[in-house]
Amino acid sequence: MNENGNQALDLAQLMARIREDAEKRKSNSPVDASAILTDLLKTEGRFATSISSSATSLGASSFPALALESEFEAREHYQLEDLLVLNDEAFVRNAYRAILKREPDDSGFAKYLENLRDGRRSKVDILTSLRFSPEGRLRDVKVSRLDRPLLFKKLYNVPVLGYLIERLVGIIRLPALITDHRRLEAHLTARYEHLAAQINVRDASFFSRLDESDANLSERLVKAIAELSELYKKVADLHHQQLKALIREQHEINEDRNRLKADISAQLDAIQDQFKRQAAAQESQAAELHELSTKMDTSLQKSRMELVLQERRLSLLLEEARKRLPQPFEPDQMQILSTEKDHLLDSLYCSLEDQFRGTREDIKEKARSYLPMLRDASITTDIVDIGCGRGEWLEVLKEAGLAARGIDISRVMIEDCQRRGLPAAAGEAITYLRSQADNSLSAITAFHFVEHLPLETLISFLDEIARTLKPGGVVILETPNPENILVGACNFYLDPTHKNPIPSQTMQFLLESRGLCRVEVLKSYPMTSAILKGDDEVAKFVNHYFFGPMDYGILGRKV
Amino acid sequence: MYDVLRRQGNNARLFSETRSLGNYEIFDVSGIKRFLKGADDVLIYHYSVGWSPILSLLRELKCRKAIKYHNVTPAKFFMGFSSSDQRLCEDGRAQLGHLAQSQCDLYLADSTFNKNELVAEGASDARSFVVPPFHHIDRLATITADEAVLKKYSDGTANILTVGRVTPNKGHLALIEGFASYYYNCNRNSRLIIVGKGGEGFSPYSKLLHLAVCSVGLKDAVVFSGGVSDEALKAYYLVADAFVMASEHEGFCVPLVEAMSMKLPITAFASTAIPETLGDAGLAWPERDPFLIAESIDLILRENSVKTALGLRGRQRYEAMFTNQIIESSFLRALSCLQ
Repeated sequence: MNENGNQALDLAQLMARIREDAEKRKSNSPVDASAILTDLLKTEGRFATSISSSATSLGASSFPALALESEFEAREHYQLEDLLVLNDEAFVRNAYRAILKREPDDSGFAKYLENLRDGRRSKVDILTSLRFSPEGRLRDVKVSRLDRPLLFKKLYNVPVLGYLIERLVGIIRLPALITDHRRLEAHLTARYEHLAAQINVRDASFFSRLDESDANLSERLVKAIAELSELYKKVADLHHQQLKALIREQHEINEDRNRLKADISAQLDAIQDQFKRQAAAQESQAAELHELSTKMDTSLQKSRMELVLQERRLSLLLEEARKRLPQPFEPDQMQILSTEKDHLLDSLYCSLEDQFRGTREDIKEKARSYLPMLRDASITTDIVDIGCGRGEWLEVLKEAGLAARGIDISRVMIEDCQRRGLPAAAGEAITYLRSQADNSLSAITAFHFVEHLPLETLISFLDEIARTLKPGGVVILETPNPENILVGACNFYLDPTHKNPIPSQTMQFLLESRGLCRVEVLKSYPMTSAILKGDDEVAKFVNHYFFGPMDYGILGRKV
Repeated sequence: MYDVLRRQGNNARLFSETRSLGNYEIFDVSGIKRFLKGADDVLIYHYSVGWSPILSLLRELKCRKAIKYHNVTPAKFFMGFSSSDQRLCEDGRAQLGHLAQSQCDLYLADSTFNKNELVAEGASDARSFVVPPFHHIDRLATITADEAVLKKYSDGTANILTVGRVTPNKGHLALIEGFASYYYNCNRNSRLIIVGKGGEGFSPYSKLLHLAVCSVGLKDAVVFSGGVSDEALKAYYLVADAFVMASEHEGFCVPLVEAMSMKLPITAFASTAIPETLGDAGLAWPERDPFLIAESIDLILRENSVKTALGLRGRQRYEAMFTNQIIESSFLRALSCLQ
């Protein structure tokens, strides 16, 4: 920068710019230092109208400074007491003013005040020191009785003698010291009272000012409260608006959430429906499958039955064919022969029955165990008992309210039955069944019958049963159980009309092979009297083979 | 002044009641009468506060008499702060008329502002001369600046400096307000350094200033150095970025000249003798508006060209008007009127 730069600086322009900036700043300054400082001055008791304006009002306290000492009066001549009556700072300051005719300088003031306070120098010492300093001598202010202490002071400085004089003067001055002390005491008391009075005056003034300002204050307070309440209202309004906005927002969020929830649950429902549909479809498919398999079973059974019937027809055809061959007897003769031959042993058989079969009541009791099988198949009518004998079973059926009829080849037995009022007729089993229509009987029973038949007849018998039973009908056969060694080896042969013992497995096979199904073997009537006690192999073996059931029943069903 | 008089071959002596003054020998005022016996002898009375013996001295002494008027601070500034200062100033102001009318041979005023006061109070215009106060700028130029101060304040923070005794007429509250405005509105990285005796916080005024600084939240941004050595003072001038003078009453204002000599850009309130001393070497504001001070500082620190230009102007003004040589010649010129 040089002379040119200097010339380039236009102070007026610069100041105009600054002035403009300052005006702008005033309107948007973040900190109002002026207000803060004005407040400070007020609280400090300095009632300044403005910081920046003239400081004339600065520090212009409305009260004069609290003064404990009376104001100093400038004179050309003083009594020592005039100066001694003051204390502390006032004493030092006024000593300067009186003797040196000026305000104390800082260092001198501090030095003398310190000496005075710690008792190193007395007031008289200080006055002497000031008065007889070069400046004091120049001022030459008259202070009566101040020369005496100086004289004494000089005397005290004389070795030995000085000490004695000091002591002596001390003793002589004792009454004066006491007086001084009293004076000081009185002075202090007066000062305290003065102080109290000043405080009281200030208090009174203060409170009266307070009263004055009270009105002002309350007016300002009312205004401030009004402003505050206005502000509060604004804040409350704002708060209310914000709250409303918040609630609206929350509401929208809730709606969104609900919409989303509905969407999700709809989708879930759709998925569940789909699952249900699929499950139903699978179920119906399974049902169809089951139905199909049942149908297949039925048609299989039907086919089997058809086969049996075909076989029967074939055998009838064969028999017919044989009849066509040259024959030794007339057919009528043959019939009579055969029929009568059958009855030859009727009475014998009755006697045998009586001998070995057991009491009527025993037989009935054993027979009752087959009733549930008929009930399970819901059979109440069309029951035929083949080989009904003395009609124990017929009687059980009649007692149970089921409609049945008996067939027996023995006329003696039939008579017995008829005497008892049981529906029984004499007849040969196969012939009788052949006379029955297809699917006409609900149940066919035969107790101790099949063991009397040769195999071929037995097959024919089973075939007729299969033909005549209604679908759902049952056949119940009972025969001695050869698995019991006693039965198989001995008891079976007690009846000489018995042909062969038939083991339950054989019987089951025969039934099934002739088209009956769901064949069940029912081991009945175990020998309870002679059973071996114990759980060992021998007991098991003996109990099974010697004391096992003496008869077994077999149940077959027609599909 | 003493040195100048001695250099001129005079037997000069300094008399004072209390003051000690550097390495100079001070005689007690009681010796004045003995020292000034001849009619050609000269008494130069430095007048700034009340001192009652002067009036009788002036009456009694037969020598030639000169009054060096530094101006008397109006007592109102001290009201409530210092009753002793208040009394000194009241007494001083009260003596102005007497002194002005005491038919002294010479009236030496620090400034035209002071001279006008004297003349207004009855001093002879013909015997009144403006002689700026001698200063120690030459000494400042030769000494080494205090390194601790230099180091402490060369930290990148903008330093705003004011120098002068911390007394109630110096307008510190307005200065603090102005600085607060600058600090909060323009630059938080700045500090105000108040160099001067009495700023230590012991006097009621100083206590008030400390309180004011705290209440505007600038405790850490305003530094009261208190009285400092010349070395430290030089260091403060060196680290300063701008110089501010907010005083309400100055008879001349030596710190302005010091700042000008140090090429510091200056802004001030144009009160009393300040505009006269500052001239066009700084931004002097007629209205006491702290915002103007704040914005002036801002402009000075923002625009380097302004800062440099103002600094240069200050230095030029110092060299043109206020070097000790120039003051000496004014002084000697005025003294020559005694012949």
